[in-house]
Amino acid sequence: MVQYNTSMPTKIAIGFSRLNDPVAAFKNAAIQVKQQLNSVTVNVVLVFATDAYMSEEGLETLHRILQPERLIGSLTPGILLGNKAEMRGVGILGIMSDDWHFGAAGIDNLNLITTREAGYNLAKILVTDHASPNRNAAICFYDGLRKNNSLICAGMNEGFGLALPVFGGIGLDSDHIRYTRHFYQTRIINDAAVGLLIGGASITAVTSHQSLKPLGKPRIIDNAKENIIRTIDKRPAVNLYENYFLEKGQTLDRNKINAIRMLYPLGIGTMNAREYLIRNPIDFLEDGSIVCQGEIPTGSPVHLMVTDKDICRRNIHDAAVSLHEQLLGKPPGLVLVLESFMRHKAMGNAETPTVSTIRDVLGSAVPIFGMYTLGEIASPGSLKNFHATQLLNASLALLAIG
Amino acid sequence: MPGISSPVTPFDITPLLMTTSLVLVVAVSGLAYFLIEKSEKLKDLTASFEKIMNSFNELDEQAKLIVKTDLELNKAQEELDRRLIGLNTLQTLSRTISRTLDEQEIFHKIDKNIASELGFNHLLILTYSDSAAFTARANIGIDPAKIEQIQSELAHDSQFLNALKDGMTFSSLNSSQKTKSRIIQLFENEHFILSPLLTQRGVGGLLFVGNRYNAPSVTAGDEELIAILASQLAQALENSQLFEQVYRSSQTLETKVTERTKELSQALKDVEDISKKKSEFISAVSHELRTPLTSIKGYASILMTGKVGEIPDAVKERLGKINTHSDNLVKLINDLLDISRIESGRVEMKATPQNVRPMLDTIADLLTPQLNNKNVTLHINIPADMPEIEYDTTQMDRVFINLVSNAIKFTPAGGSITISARTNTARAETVFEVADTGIGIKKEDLQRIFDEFYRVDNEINMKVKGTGLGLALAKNIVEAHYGHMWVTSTVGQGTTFHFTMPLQHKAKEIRQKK
Repeated sequence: MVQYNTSMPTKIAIGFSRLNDPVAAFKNAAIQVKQQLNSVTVNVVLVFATDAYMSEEGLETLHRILQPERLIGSLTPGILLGNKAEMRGVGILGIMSDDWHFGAAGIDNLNLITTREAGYNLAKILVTDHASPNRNAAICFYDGLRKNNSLICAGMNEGFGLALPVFGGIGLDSDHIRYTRHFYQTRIINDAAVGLLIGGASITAVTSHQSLKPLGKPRIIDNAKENIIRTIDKRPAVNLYENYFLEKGQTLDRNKINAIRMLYPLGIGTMNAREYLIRNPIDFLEDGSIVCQGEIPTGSPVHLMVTDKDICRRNIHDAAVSLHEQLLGKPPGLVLVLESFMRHKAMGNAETPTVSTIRDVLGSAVPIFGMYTLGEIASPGSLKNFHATQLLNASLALLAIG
Repeated sequence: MPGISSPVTPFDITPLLMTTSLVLVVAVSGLAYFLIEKSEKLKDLTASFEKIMNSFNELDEQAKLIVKTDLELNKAQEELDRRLIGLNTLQTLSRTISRTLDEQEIFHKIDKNIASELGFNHLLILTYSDSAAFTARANIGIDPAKIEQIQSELAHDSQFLNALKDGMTFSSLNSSQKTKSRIIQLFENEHFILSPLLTQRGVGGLLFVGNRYNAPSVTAGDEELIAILASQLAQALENSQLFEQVYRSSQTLETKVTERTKELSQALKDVEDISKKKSEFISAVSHELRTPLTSIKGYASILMTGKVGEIPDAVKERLGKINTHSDNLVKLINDLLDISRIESGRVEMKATPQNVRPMLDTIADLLTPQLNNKNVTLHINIPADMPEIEYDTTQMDRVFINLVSNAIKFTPAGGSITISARTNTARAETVFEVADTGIGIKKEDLQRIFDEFYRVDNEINMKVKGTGLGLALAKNIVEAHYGHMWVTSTVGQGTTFHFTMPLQHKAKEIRQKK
């Protein structure tokens, strides 16, 4: 049980359980939150659960115990709470606040509309539910395994009618990258997007993906459309991976894709950007095209990217220090962490220094709630770049609220 | 004058042509030079480009090496992670099952999550009974219909059972192609490990874990892990079975103890009843005997006085014997009566706090003739500051007289008898000792010395008459004062009778409790 009390009138509680029975686990974690908040109802609940805990009955139990006014959540391969990543279990964040205002939204059947439309619709519902002009940021989780899914932020900002910092991610089942699932109020929904609009709270965020280094010679993406790279250096895009991973005459098989697509993303050089735009391949098509998460600019140089655990570890520390500086040393009410699962793979299961490093910098009493993702919606660098919010890969995104 | 035409000097273009040619030549030469120059530069550029391209290609080759190394590192890392998770799971599971003594509970602990953390989607645990049959105890992901087939096939495969008995672990990594194919076909898992559950009695069962297709192959590490788990399971099963046996034995023992206790209680009650009846009988008989004895003694005395006529000396002598024997018989009956009264609790000790010294002095005076006759010395060692104790003077007199008389009887001339006392503060009691330098008592007699009518078989007892009730009576009196009596002796050196009397506060406590 993790207990945090920020100065009133905002109370934050985190519960976690890995009991084998999902319903019992939901009950256990919800009771922890209830005991800390000591309240009949809860303003907002955020749920992160691993695959075995995506339980409707569990969610029902949570509602019975906490009676949340608003609830969103996501499936994840791992929950970040303490010194070790929890690769099995359910984590519940509960917030009670007189100052912070919330709006929640959830939409499913995304396959029937474009991602941009999904973002737009989600934002419209959030604005309606929030019912206050005082909006500071939005949190969003969505099915990022769809083709051409990078325009959700653009769609959301259209829906909000102004550029608002958007922070979020793509939760997934595991490194097999088979499906996503989301919690919205009393339901578990597929092919969906869920969001939370926050007002009345100060928001600070940093994002970093400097943990990757380019490998080999640069190649040029000469034919790409939306999130699909057709050719690189006038050859089928998949040749780039085949060149590095296969001996002559071999072809890339599906099992091998699972192993490499997360650990070796593509780094795309863009004009005026100091960092590479990182893109995870999510599928390799028959014609040799690579389907990525997010838009691909044609004519850009592209590299295969690689990382190692030391860089990742250093990178966490740098991101935490950057957040601390932006907060001017003041401890935040809550820190949400979205970390690419690729970084976890690179660091290994035995080592999950993310939360402990952040606590070392921000203070041991800071409530931290996070999960592993396949893609992170965030502004590159810091929140001052929030106009450039986009879907990132292989990054670590920290959002400080309050 | 006719016009004189002057000759026109033609324009000489030769120099122009020459100049132009020269310029052209220079220009062409320059152009040629320029072209050559450019061509050289182009060549240089091409060479540089090729060089750069070669560098890039070299970079790419290096990148391939980096990727290859990185992949290997990642693979090693993943393997290490798997091992760590597996070991962690094994440790947790071992801790849990080692604390469980219920067989069902042990199997209940092995669930889908445990299998998954060990890296397997399928798991089957079969136990092997004395009746040579396998029974499924835990199953994750294996078709129940298939399990029946597995149980039946394996139970009849003596070669397989022998291999299990030898502790052999089968796996898709180490088994022969034939065995591997058979297990794959039987369990429908391409990647597997099958390890025996070995107990002290032999094969206790087997643990199977496996994955179907498209799963990573099992490693030597997995094999080791599953073999350890199988051994832990076997240990836990054996413990639970032993516990069950011990539990059953203790249950049986407990039942037996209860029954025996009941029997003993009944026997004790019976003995108490008998003892009570005996005391009542002795009491009744004694009363009945005492009345005619009194008459006999009375009549004998009258006859001896000669009031009913002169009697010859011979008759007088016999009448004297009748009198003496009657006295002995009365004494015997009185002792018997006292014992039975004390045993049945009908005699209340009139205990009052007093010093023992005056009582002992009186006893010494009383027994002086006997001591003198036998030339035996009596020593009384009582500390001057000895606290008073609660006792019934009449009864305690009998105790000391009995003990000292006995001592005089068995101590040869020139010997000594010592009465001593000391206070044991820790036990809140006074310990009295009556020690003699007499003939001593044999070990086998010591155990029965306090029995009623028991007389040690020795020369002195043959000569001196006695009832065999004195020590029994003394012991009963001491116990009626909440003390206890015992004896120590060395044949030829002497005998000591010890008895305790509680100090006043302890006697009070005991009385209150009773």
